[in-house]
This record gives sequence, structure tokens and C-alpha cells, in this order.
Amino acid sequence: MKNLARRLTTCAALSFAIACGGNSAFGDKAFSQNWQNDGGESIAAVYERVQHASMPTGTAIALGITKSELTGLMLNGKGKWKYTGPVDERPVITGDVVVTVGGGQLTALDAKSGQPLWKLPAPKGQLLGAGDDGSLTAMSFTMGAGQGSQILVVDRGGSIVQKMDVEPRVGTPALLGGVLFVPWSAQYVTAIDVESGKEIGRMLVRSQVSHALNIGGSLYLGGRGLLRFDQRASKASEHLGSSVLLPERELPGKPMWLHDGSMAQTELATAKDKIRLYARPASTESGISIEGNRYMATYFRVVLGMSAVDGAVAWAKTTEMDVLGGDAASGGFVICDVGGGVRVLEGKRGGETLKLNIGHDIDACIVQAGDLRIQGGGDTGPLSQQMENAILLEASQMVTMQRFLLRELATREDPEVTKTLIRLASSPRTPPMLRDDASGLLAARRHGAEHMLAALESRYDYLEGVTRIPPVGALADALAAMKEYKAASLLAEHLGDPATPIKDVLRAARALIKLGSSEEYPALQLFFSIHRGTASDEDSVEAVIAAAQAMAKINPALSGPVLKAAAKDSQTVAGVKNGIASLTGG
Amino acid sequence: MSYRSLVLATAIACGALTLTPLSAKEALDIEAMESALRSQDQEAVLKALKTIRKSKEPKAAPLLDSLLNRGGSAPVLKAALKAAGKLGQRSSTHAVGPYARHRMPEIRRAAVQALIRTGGPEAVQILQLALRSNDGRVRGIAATGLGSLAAHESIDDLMTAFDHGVAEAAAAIGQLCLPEECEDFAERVGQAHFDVMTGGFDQILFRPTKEMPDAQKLRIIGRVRELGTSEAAAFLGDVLERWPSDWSKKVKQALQSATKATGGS
Repeated sequence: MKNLARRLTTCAALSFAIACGGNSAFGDKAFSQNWQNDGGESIAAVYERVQHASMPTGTAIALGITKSELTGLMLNGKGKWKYTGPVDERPVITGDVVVTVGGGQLTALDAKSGQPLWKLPAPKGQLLGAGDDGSLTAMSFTMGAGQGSQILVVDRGGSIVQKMDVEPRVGTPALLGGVLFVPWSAQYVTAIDVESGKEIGRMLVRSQVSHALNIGGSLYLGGRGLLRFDQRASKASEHLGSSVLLPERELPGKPMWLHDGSMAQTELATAKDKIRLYARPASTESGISIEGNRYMATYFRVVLGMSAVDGAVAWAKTTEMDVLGGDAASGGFVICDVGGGVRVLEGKRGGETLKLNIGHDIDACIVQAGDLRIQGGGDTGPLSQQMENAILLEASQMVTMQRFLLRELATREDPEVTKTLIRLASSPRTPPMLRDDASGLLAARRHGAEHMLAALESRYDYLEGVTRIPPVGALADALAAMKEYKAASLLAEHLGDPATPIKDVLRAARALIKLGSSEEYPALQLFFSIHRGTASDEDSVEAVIAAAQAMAKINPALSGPVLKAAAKDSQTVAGVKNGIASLTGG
Repeated sequence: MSYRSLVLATAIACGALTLTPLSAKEALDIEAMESALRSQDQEAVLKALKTIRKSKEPKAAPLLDSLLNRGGSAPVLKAALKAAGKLGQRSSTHAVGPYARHRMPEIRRAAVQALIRTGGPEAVQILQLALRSNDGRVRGIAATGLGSLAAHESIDDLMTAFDHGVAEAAAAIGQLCLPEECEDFAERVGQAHFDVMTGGFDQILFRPTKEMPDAQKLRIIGRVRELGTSEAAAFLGDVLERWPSDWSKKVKQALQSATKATGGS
């Protein structure tokens, strides 16, 4: 091994590109496409070998990235470091090491201090991922389109202890107990003995696997979900491994938990980085679950805490700037924004427990929660209020998330939600599309009648500064469906209020067909009489007809002569005449 | 309806007879007017309404009230409201009132105008409500109306309306305010546009002394003088020019002195 290491170090010193060309001695055997599923036999043997080996739990760090520097911020609040130098690719944090590529060099930094551990000439390909076991660092690189991948294993002294050019596109590797775990072709994880370079085991994981990850000192294989590498790993191909998935939910922007590890990430953050899911596995008696039953979804400036059981929104938080990165920790989450702000959030309610700052704007951010344990967190207020805050966030790209939150809000039966929907449907601050959504959801709502009645009492009043008009139409629909007869007098008052939009007046008049009584009859007749000859648009005509229908239902004897006279009068508009014909026997 | 009226209405409806405005001395044929107002020919109705308006005949007011209660087309309603205003019968307020909240802006404005002429406590109440309307022109007309109807009970609302930008409220306040209220209004100098304030000051200064003591008028003149602007000078000069010769000499002297001090002639 020592000889091999020396030979490879020399090779690296000369040049990666020319001196070590071609596959390693074991490359032809490893990653063979002719492998036959061995029913988990080989990987069970690998587990036997590494089960007592350990990996570092990992430095808890947020790494702020610009094109010319990296800033490491310790999540325990105890200091930060700066590394200056070109950053050409997205760095990787693994365990206690940060791997970065820039200016033609591949550099490993101590994650706690930022001090370089070693530097090597950068391979031609792009960095895909890295894994570290505390003494060796394994890294995977692309080799260009259709040209496979390269894997390097480097020790703390900068010596290359293994280098493999392999045919398939591999994902993020991990190291444990002298074994290199390499996911590839979205379904295999190959175990390679680092010293010999031989493939010593392989497992079939049918879940788009592309990551071998050290999470809190345990090895996980990640794709659509996470699979813990444990004694059940040999049963993974039969779906009997210790695995966990997040609930299936349609979320704005279709966020992913883990990106495709076989694809290099751009050096600067993109929308994909801003729209992400974060979750941390936790051990249970029967296998694994999601830590705290919470996962986190980010969408630009909105951060949601979601139930890992059913995918329901548990809390919603807004940020002043776009979230670029984050991680799930034990007890909560960490997020990192464009302005360099780093927040530590308690998982259950989303309360902020710590606020730190990298000190400047950043282009990308990677967080490794490592051994961070989050506790505490202040009161975050009612969920409906949190959602309302997110819905009213003034940022154009937020509309998709805001509409999602609105629908989510409306699924709650809490009467307070009715109040929130009324506010959103009538607030001039609410974007028009969201206001329409809120009105629609309010119309379909069957809870919180008391808040609906209170809202109907509100009138435009210039002197009192009340210029916000309640969503009368939506309220009328809901109250009529709820057979809330107390609403009748209030709806009748809106018939005579020119500040109430005619579309709402129409719905109020229709609701009065169901809810109206003799007490509302005078208001209905007045509205009918003074508008029957002036209704100039479809909604006005329909509103007048609806008023007539309500009159006829409430008091046929009293309304009959009025409607008949109107039907005969040349001054009654034609649409109204047609509409009331059936009421007058015409 | 009498046979005569029926024939008359039919003739009008068929265009065989043209209604012409009556001279002041000619009596209005109420029955014929009633028939005409019930005609299915809108032109005939409009002509009848014009005739009634020109006649200023109070006895025709119930005809208008009846028409307004029944409703009609926009041109007919506007003409009816105009006629009701012209006749100015308090009894019409009840029929005119609902139109102050009609959905067509020109109809509700016509209604508010008419209410100023029909008057009465009910009109004041409706105008007070109209002052809160979402229609700026309705608010302006309502403010003017409350001043014209001497509705002192509306002074607080008018002050608020003025503070919210209803310029017409200034003149109304000037017509209605008690001295201390006038002083309250005058304190807005420097905050509100001066040319808007002058609408109120003008009214205050030209109110009879028994309503508005000279002392208050002098205070107003003093406040305007303190402004020292060319607008203030122009206003004071204009008031001085119009100041009746047999009115308070003390006020006149103050006006002269203030005009001079502010650079006016």
C-alpha cells in the first residue's frame, strides 16, 4: 500500500492528466456491467467487515461561497474562517473536510479552521462529491459527456492512495472502514477495498441511488430516499432495507431532497438550490424514520416545516432574502441566505434558536449540520398567521408558493382561518391572483360563520378610513350554503351600497333567494325598482332578476303587481324583462 | 284618470300633441302630467318632466315621487331627480333619497343635488351618509349641501371630510361653524392648501355679525395676514373689495392693514 501510495503521489506530482492515464489496475473488474445479483451475499460480507468502523460525525458548519473565497461559519457560533482563492466549482463538505476546486487546484481544507490539508492538481472533470472517514478523502469527478468518471482517494498528507477511471457515471462516494462505497447507474452501490482497489461487494438499490453519505457518523445511501447501511443492507434489493422516504406531495417548484449525485452542480446557486427539501434520518427500533417527524421545504424566501407523516405544513417562515442552502440537524434545521444570514431553527415549530452571519453576500451556500443538536426556539405564533405572512410576502416569484399556502390554509377547519381568508380576500396588499384564490376558497368554506357575519357588517366609510370592502360575494355564497339566516339583513344592506361591486351584489341577491325573509323584502323591492330600468351590464341585469326572484319567493302577493308592472314597462331593460317573465307568468 | 287626461296622454304619446314649457302664469294640468309620466313613450315622459320642472308647480311633486318610487330608465330618472330638485318639496326627499345610493354615478349625483333642494332632516341624514361615499363627487356635493341646509350637527363630519381632502367641506364649515369651531378650522392654515381654506374663510368673514362676531373675523384676518404670502394678499384684497360699506369698520380697517402688510394694494 505504501508503495502504491508513493507511486501515485509521484504520479500526481507530475501531472494527473498525463502520467496516470487509463484505468487503474482494478478498473476493469470493478463496476462490471455483467454482475449477477448475488442476493446480498457480497454486501453482507462488507457489512460484517465495516460494522464497527466509524466516521466523524462532521463539523457543524455553514460554508458561504463566492467566486473568490470561502467562508466557514461554525454553527455553534464559535468563530468563522476565510479561505481566499478562486472557486471554480461547487465545493463539498464531508466530515471535517471541505473540498474545493479553483485555479487548477484541488484543495482540501480543515472544516474547523479553514487551513489547507493538501493541494493537488485538479482533475479535468468536475467535482461530483466527496466522502471522508477521518483519515482518507474520496472524491468523484466527471470525465466529460459519455466518458465515465474518475475516483480519487487521498490521505491527509495529500498522497493519492487510489485513483480509478471508471466507465459508468458515479455519484457521491463515502469511505468507511477502508471500504469505498460508490453509487452508480442509479441502482448500484459498489464497495471497493481501498487498499487493493478491488470490488468486494455490490448491492442493488432500486431508488435512483446516487449518494453515499455520512450523516452524523452513519453511512446512508441516498436517491429518492435514504437507505441506512446496516445489517439489512443485503436485503435492499428486496425493499427490505432500513429505508425512509418523504411523503409524496406536490410542492411548488417540485423540490428534491437529494440532487442527482452523478451530475455536477454549478458553482453558483441556482433556483434548484433555493427550492429544496431537507430531512435527517433517525434510528428507530424497527429501522429508520425522519428526525422529529419533520422535513423542511425551501422556496426562495419561504421556508416550510412539513410533517414527515402526512406532508402537512407544520410551520411557515419567511426570510428577507432567498434561501440558498441548508441542512437538517438533530432537533431542527439550518438555513443560509443570499445575504450570508444563517439561522438555526427548531424543528417542531420553526422557532429561531440562533442567528448568525457569514458577513457578506454569497453566491452559494452549503451547510453540514454534523453533530449540531438544536434545542429551544421561541413562540412562532399561530400557523394561520405564519401562512398569512408568507402569503402576503411582496415578491413576484413567490406567487406559486403563496397559492399553495393559501390552498393549504383553507384545508384547516379552524375558524381563525376564515378570518385570515377574509383579510386576504379584501386586502389591497394581496396580489390580485391570490385575492381571487382567497375569495374562491372563502366561498367554498363551511366554517367560521361568525367571522363571515362580522365581515359583512363592514361598509366603505370614507370618513372613517374604511376603504377595504369585504368579499361580499364569496361570503354570500358560503353563508347561503351554510343556511346562515342571520346573514340575510346584512346582505340586503349590501344591495343598497354602491361601493359593493356589482358582481358581489349579484351573489348577495342570489343568497337572499335562499336566506331572505319579509324583513329583507323592502330592500329587495327598492333595489329592483330603482335599477330595473338602468341595469346596463350582464351582472347588473342578473342582480336585478335575482332580487325579483327573492321578492317573488318571500312575498308573491306583494311582489306580483310590482313585477307585472315592471314587465310591461317599456323603461324596464329587455334583459330584466326576459328574466322576470317566468315570475310574472309572461 | 279622466277621459280628458287619457286622450291627452295618448296624444302626447303618439306625438300628436307637443308639450311645451308653460309660462309662469299658466296652470299645470296635473292629470295630463300624470298620464304623460305613465306613458310607454320615453320621449313623452321626458317632455312631461321638463314641463313640470319649468312650472315649478309644487302640486306636481307627488307625480315625481310616484315615478321615482316606480323606477325608470336612466334619462327619465335623471330628469325626474332634476325636476324634484327644482320643485324643492320636502315631501320628495323620501322618494329621492334612495337614489343617492344608486349604482349609476350620474344618477346618485343628481339625487344628492336634488336633496339639497328638497331638504329636511331626512335629507340631512342622507347627505351625512353621502359624505362617507366612495364617490368623490358625491362627497363634494354632500358637503356643499350640508352647508346649504345649515346642518350644524354635521360640523364634525365636515371637519373630518375636509381633513380627508373634501375641499367643498371648507365652504360648508365656513357657513356652519360657531366661533370656536371656526377657530379650529382656521388652525389648519399651513397644513391645508390656502386656496382651499379661503372657501371657508370667505364664508366666515361674510357672515352677519349676529352670527359671527367681529372678534372672530379679526382673528381669521390675523391668521391670514401672518401667512404673508402673495396668495394671502390677493385673498385679503378681494375680501376688502367686496366688503359692504355699511359693515364693520373695524373689520374693514383690519382688512386694509393686512392687505397692505402682505404686499397687496
